Amino acid sequence: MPATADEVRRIITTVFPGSNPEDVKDQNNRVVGTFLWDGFKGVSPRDRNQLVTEKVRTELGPRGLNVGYLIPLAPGDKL
Amino acid sequence: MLFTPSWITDALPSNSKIQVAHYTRIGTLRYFTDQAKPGGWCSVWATPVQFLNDRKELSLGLDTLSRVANQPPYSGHRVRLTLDSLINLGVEPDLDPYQVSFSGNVDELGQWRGYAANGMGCSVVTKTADVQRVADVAGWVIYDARKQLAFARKILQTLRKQTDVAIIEQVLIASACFMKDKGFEPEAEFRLLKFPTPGHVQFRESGDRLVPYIDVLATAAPLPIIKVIVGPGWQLSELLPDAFARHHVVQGIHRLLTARGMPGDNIHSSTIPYDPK
Repeated sequence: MPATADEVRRIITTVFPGSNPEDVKDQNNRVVGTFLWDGFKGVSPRDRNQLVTEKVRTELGPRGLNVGYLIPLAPGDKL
Repeated sequence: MLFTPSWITDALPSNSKIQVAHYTRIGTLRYFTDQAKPGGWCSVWATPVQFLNDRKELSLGLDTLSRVANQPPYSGHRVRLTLDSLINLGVEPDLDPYQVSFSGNVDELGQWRGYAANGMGCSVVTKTADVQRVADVAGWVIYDARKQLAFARKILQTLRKQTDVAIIEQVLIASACFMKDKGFEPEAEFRLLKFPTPGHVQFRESGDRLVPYIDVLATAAPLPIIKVIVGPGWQLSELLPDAFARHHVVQGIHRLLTARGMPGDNIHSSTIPYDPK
């Protein structure tokens, strides 16, 4: 069974405590979205994505095939 | 499609060529034409870029965009994060561009050898404007590294203030499709992109794998076939017009075109003296 948006949001709030994944949602059978976490302040885009892969995608394993872009933002990020 | 085509086409270089060619096997002409839709080229399959022959194709464009985005004036975090995600994790299937390649060089040896049965195929020539008509985005591919950087700067400038990640991702992928390695420059590619809805995607077998595709012309008016050029492998260029018209390869194409409601007198031979045998 593929991962659900609820499950992905739950993992995000667990591994990135205090994060806000409300924008992560189901879209055409894919789980996608952006989320905010203070801990990403000063962290490079590559390292942020790496953290998401290590902590969220790895946790889901093959069930995460339907998880698309999860964009890890920090408060105050430049548009 | 989530964005306005001119975001990309306005940033691409212009080219005055009014005709472009698609290189293929002669047998494929059967599928381009249909008795039920006479008078033109009514079926052409588009494939996602990552299923093509240039394994670095999308990565070259994304790397160029990423290099520019991570230099002053830096792009916003959403753009830089999306680029990094595309480079390392790949493209969202829902946002995938499907493409068809045409060439501004209608009689070019490399393409005869690579895409047209080693010179035994044909090139089907149509109007550039009609390809633009049926595409979501169409334009000339950039091979020069400096022009690629300039193109990337324009695209990233357009994306400033854009907050929707799906739009950002689709624009970045589509832009990356118009940058290729200099080694492919003789192809002078004019590329058609379509962004299908998932329900319209079909699948075919190719090289022991499944390849998704869409028929770009399924719901569009046919493309005009200006002429069909027979590949150099058949060695027809020195035949007199009468002998050329009677040649069995030319006759086969002629009969197909006339049976499908097209003039059959627009068949020519490649002028390249290439003999694959």
